[in-house]
Parts: sequence; C-alpha cells; structure tokens
Amino acid sequence: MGNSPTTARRPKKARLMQGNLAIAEGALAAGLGFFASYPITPANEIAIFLSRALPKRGAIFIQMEDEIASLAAVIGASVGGLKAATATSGPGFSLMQEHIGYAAAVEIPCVIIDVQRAGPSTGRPGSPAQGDVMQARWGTHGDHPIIVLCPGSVQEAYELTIHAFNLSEQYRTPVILLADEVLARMWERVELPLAQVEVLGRLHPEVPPEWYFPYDDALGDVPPLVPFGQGYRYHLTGLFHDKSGFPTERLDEIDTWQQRLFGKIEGKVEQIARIEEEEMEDAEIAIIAYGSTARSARHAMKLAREENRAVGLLRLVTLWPFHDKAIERVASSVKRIIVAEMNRGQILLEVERVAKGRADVVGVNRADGAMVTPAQIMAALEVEG
Amino acid sequence: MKRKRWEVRLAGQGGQGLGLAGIILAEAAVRDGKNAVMTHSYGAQQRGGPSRADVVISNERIDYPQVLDADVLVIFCEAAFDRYHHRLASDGFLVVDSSQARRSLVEGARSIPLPFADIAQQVTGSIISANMVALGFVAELTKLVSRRALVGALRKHSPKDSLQANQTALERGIQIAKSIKSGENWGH
Repeated sequence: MGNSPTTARRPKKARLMQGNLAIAEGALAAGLGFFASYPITPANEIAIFLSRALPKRGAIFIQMEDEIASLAAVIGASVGGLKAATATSGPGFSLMQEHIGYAAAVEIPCVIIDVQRAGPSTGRPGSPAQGDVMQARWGTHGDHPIIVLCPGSVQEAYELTIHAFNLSEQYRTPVILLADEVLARMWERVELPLAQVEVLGRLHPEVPPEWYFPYDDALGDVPPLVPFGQGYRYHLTGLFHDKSGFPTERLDEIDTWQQRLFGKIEGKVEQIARIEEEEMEDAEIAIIAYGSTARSARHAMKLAREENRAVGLLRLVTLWPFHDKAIERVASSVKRIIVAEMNRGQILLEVERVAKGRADVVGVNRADGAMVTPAQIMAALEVEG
Repeated sequence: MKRKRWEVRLAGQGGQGLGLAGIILAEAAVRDGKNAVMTHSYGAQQRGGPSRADVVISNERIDYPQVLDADVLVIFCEAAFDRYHHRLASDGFLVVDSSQARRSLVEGARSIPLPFADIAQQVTGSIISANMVALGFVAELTKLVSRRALVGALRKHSPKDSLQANQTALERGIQIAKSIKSGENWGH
C-alpha cells in the first residue's frame, strides 16, 4: 500500500461552478469515503451535493443530530480507514471544537470545512465574515498543532480541498478548510478537472501487527495509522499517551510525544504553508489578505499600480501554521503593511507580532457581514503612516 | 465588449428568481469564453426578503466579485430601487419592471421601464417568468452574451417543469429589446 498518487486524465473544460460545489467535487476527487454533517447556512450545498453523490459511489453520507456528533462520526470513520470530512459554519464550528482537539491529540486525519458567516452567535447566516480565524487556531482547549487553508477562488476551493485531504494524511492531523460565505456561494468560471491531481492515501507500516505502535517515533515523525480491523490492535485516547496509545503520566513519555506532535507541523512550516506574492519586488506598501478579501485587495492593488504606486500583494493560502518567515521578509522590505480582513483584526495581530515594528502595520477591518471593498483598502493606501 | 469589466445587478425580492437569472447570465458568459462571477445576497426568507444578484463579466481575471458601479441595474421592486439606484454607473442602463416598481428615474441614466411581470403573464400565463423576460431583454440590449449561449445556459439551469415557459419568456424579452433597438415604437 503506502501513498498511491492517482491522476485525473480527462481534458479541462471551462464551466460555471459554485464554491460549495467545488469543495464537494474536490472532496470526491480526493477520495472522500464518509461525510457526516448537520445542516447550516451557508455550507448546505456541500451536504446536499454529497448526500446524492456519495451513495452512488458506495460511500457514506450521514446527517447527524448535531455538529458534535458529526465530527465524532468523521473521526470514527477515519480510524476505520476512510477519507472523512464534515462541513459547517460558525455556530456548528463552535460545537466541533472539542473533537478538533481530540483529532489533533490522537492524530486522526480528517477534514473540517468551515464556511465562515458573520457572527458571533447566529449573526447574519447568509453574510460573509472571516471571524473564525483565531477559533480555527485556538478554539479547542490546550496547545495543539493545526493546519488551516483558505481558498481565494472557486477553482482554488477545489484544489485546496484535495490538498487538505492530502495534508491530513501526510501529517496525520485534522485540517481545516476555512472558506467564507462569498467564496462558498458565489458561482465562478472554473477549469476542471485538473490535469494533474495528486491524491495521497494512508501510510501503512512495514512492521507486522505485533511490532506496531500507533505513536512510535521509531516509525518517523508521522507514524502510520493502521485502520481498525486489519489485525493491528492498539488503543486510542484523548489522555496523554505513550507510544502504544495507552494513557501515561510519565513526563519523559509525554515530552517525547509532544516534541513529535508539534514538530511534525510547526517544524515544517516552510513545506506546509503556502503564500502567493504579487508585485512585491518594488513594493513600498504591502497588502496582506486571504480568502475573498484577497480579491478586494488585488482589485485595489491593480488600481494603485495603474496610478504608478508601489503597492504589492501577499495572499495567505495557508493561515496556520503561520508563515512567520514570509511576513518577516515583507516587513523588512516595505514601509507599510495593510492587513485587510472581514473581522476586527485577527491576522493583523500575527502580522504585528512578526513585524516587530519593522514596518507600520495597519488594519482594514469590518465584521458587519459585508465584504471589505477595494475603496476601503484604497483609503488605507492614502493615509500617510 | 471593449471594456474590461461589465457589471449587472438584478435586485428585487426573494422568490422572483433573480439568483437563477444571474446564474444563467454568468453561465452564458462562460459559454462565450469569458470570465464571469455571480454572487447572490438574500435574507433568511425564501420569499419576500431583499434579494440581489450581481454578475460581473470580463475578458480578464475578475477580482472583486460584487458590483461597484452597475452598468445595468435591473429593479424588480420599489424597495430595491431605493436601496440601489445610487449604485448605477453614470452611463448605465436602469431597467425597471414597471409592473412591480413605480419609480424609474435616475439622473443621467438611460432609464427603461417595462412591465416584465405583465409581459410574462401575457406570454406564459404566469408572472413567475418575469425574470426571464428581463434577462432576455438585458442580454439583447447589451449584447453581453450571445443568444446561443444564453439559451444553452437556460436549458442547463432552468427547472425542467418551467423550461418551456422560461424559454418563451426569454425569447419575448429578446424580441422586445430588438424592436426597441431598431427604433420601433413598442407600446405598453
């Protein structure tokens, strides 16, 4: 077994597709075998589509009683060997937090799709926001590593969903696809399927069952997780555990486990975190944005360039782990950084932390359920720092 | 289509099918080989709440996906006029369903009031296809999309049980725009 890259070979065809459907199609392309969720706006189209598509493929769709149970079912299915995912929005994402921590600690691959809507609480269900950025990072209790991806177009929603499944298998970790309402519900031209789609399967150990331990660092930073029922007997628990998976109170064992748990992701930021830079070579002002707000930012950047202003764009494709080095480079090369986001300044804090005063850092923020407009960003360009 | 970016906003109430009209227009643009983005904003209600579909069409990459200054603003109720008339570009078309909204004047704009709901009632027996009359009209008026692409997009996205009525309504809208453009006096 091991990793089995597969390639789609059908020719590209341009068509109009909704973001939520691109996410669902991406999940299918990645080999989704199990999907459990509870209905919520604005993520519903994902479940509606998969409720029809999965049974046709002999795969499983379950509408659960709530989001807590949804993620629990997803984790169970993944331990059973299936690629598994759930989709939700703010209120449901809040309910999932405990199990996100469980999946991170027990190291169960799974994909959690959060289509962000304006909150807190019920908020504006049909309106966009990016208010779950810090919740995606720190929403569950206790220190834990996490990978969070943020698509900026319908085409990229498809690609990043596949990538999310791959990362979850590669690093044996929950991966959060953090979309927003604009992106998820807008219809846009896409060219699918992609010429080359690499799909990673689950790693399999080369040791026989009697030698296998699910948290054995002798098997590498990311020990393979053998699906239950294949003769490899082991234990899983949210308690701190030793290499066999049984609870431990021994600090040396806890230290070994934590070093590996954090190291496998935080020690590989350069490999995991994707960023996209545009017009940054001569930029004096950098706009940092992500998700649909990066589209407002690029619109503003283009307008500024038409006026011969030295403005560049840095788009975060991966939000977590945070790409400190990329932001450090930008902070050292520009006079001002504008961080645009549909919240009251969540990534702004990270940029300030990394910039350490090397550049002025200014936020363009709104959390009322409307997009950040190009005009708002243009106005921030005008202000002398 | 020489301009970089064309913006169409369809504004009215939930239940008038403006989201569907937006999808069909965007789909037609993609079939013509252009880039297109459709965003749809609506309230929690299935019917009656404010509804707004924005379609942006371009030969280039589209960044900001919503309407900034509408080249075409289609109004399907009075409240939508109040809310959005100021978003019309200075040389834009204001297309108002005069059977559902009274006011249709914006200074400087090319204003076209037409009773789309009444026309739909006449040609299909129901006002529900008013969205398709307006869509056919706007497409022919602006030539933003080809007729072939528009009809193909309609076939793909229209619910099957209303396809016939929608096609009839769309054709009527195209026909009205043609007669207006050729200078004929179309009475209503």
